[in-house]
Amino acid sequence: MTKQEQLDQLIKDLRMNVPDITGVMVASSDGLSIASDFPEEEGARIAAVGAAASGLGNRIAQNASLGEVSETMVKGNDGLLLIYMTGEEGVLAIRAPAKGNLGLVRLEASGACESVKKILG
Amino acid sequence: MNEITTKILDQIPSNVKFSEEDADVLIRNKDKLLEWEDGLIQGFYDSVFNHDTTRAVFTEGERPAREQTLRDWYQRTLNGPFDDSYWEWQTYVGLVHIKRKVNNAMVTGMWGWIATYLSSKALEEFPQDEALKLVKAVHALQANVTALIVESYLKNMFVAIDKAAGLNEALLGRLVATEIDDMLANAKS
Repeated sequence: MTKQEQLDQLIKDLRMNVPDITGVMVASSDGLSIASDFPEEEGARIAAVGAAASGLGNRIAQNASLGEVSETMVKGNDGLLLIYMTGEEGVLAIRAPAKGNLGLVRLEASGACESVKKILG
Repeated sequence: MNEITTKILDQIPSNVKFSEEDADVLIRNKDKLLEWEDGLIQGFYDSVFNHDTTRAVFTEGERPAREQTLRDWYQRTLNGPFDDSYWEWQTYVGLVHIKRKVNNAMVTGMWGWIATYLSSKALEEFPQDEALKLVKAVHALQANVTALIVESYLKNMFVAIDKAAGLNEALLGRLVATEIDDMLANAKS
């Protein structure tokens, strides 16, 4: 399988394992969408702001002496976006409902991050 | 400074960029050009201090020091050489301008004044052929220096944003790209 096919499959698996998830994206750390099942019209913006949130999260962690960032989360009334660094060059963004099973999302996200690192590495 | 200076100057078409011929014209006429120094300094800062927005950049009593800075720049320019350290100095000015809140409209506006002043003096006081060479040299100098100052201002803003917020220039470009089409459409309507 190509890297693209592996990432597409990873997104499908994540959605199948956690049906609550409403969108998954792998983007470059400079905000370019690499693989995504977000609607096309949302994709470019989510990739860019997801990478931005990740970068900002890292700086906040550095300035506030929080240590290495494991997750950046934006929570709204209607849902949340979880963003994970996947190595130096990649970002994984997952959208889920505000009242979904966050524990399960995080558990699956952790494994997905490792897989993305391997695929992109 | 060296890398950013080279990158900025590489953006300027070679027929517009300040050339060795331009440098020769300025340096061989430097004695005459130095006679215009007092008028240049006076006129420049009269314009700056007669406008509320540009005057607000300066602190009380700062004018003599800034006049000396411009005087030093003018003399260094006319004495040459136009080497890496000279152009890197202009790039550094862009960084200083961020700190001093001297925006690019102020820079391009006042550079227009400098070019007009020197060109007018050249046309008044030199034979036409040499005057036109001087006008061309002044405008090429203006192109290089303003390019370095305003691009350095912008690029160093990006660097500062990246350092502060973790948003590198490529990512900022991507964020801009997500909005620019809507902004263009709104601007047209």
